[in-house]
Amino acid sequence: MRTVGLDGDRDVPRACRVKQLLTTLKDHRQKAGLTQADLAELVDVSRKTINTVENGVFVPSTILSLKLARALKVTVEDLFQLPN
Amino acid sequence: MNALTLTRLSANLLLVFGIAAVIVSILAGYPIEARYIIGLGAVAVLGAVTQFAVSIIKPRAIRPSWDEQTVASHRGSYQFGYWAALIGFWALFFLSQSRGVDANEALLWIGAVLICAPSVWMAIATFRGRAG
Repeated sequence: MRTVGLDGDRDVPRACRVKQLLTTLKDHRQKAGLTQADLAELVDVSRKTINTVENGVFVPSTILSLKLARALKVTVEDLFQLPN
Repeated sequence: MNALTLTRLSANLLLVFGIAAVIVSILAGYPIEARYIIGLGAVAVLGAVTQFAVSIIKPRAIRPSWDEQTVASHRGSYQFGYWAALIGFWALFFLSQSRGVDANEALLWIGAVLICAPSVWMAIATFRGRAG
């Protein structure tokens, strides 16, 4: 797995840093062959919301996280991780 | 962009342009008048009624327009409106006490802030991708 050093002295999985949350949603969505609009329709949110979650602007609720995980057939922990 | 998002954005933009027009007219030397505020209020009410009607007509299609990010932005718009009104009130209060700003004019300004501040926030949120 590609890694990037976000905190200088330690590496963390390649992911987008969201305040206190890391996400690999974009990678998993692309792996599933879905566009942002496709995924948005599957989980009943707007495409903009998928975009902001992927870019680390918006932290999704537990319910949306579970819906995203179910739609992409992965676990929530696969999509979102705490930095530590 | 679905019907509700379009309706909501249109109503918010109308209010943004409305308050901008009022500000420009004041800067041009015209006094603020009650009919401006009545006009802004009418646009706001009409926008709300239209959005309600769209929600009734297309209940399934509007769900992404009320997703959790939009709800958060919507909540933010009311918080912004509250602080804008509070700060506006104190600013106008002191101006009316010290610089002779007419109390009637101050009341109209507070009305304009109350009507338009949340819409300004929501319009910006929509263009920044923070509201569906």
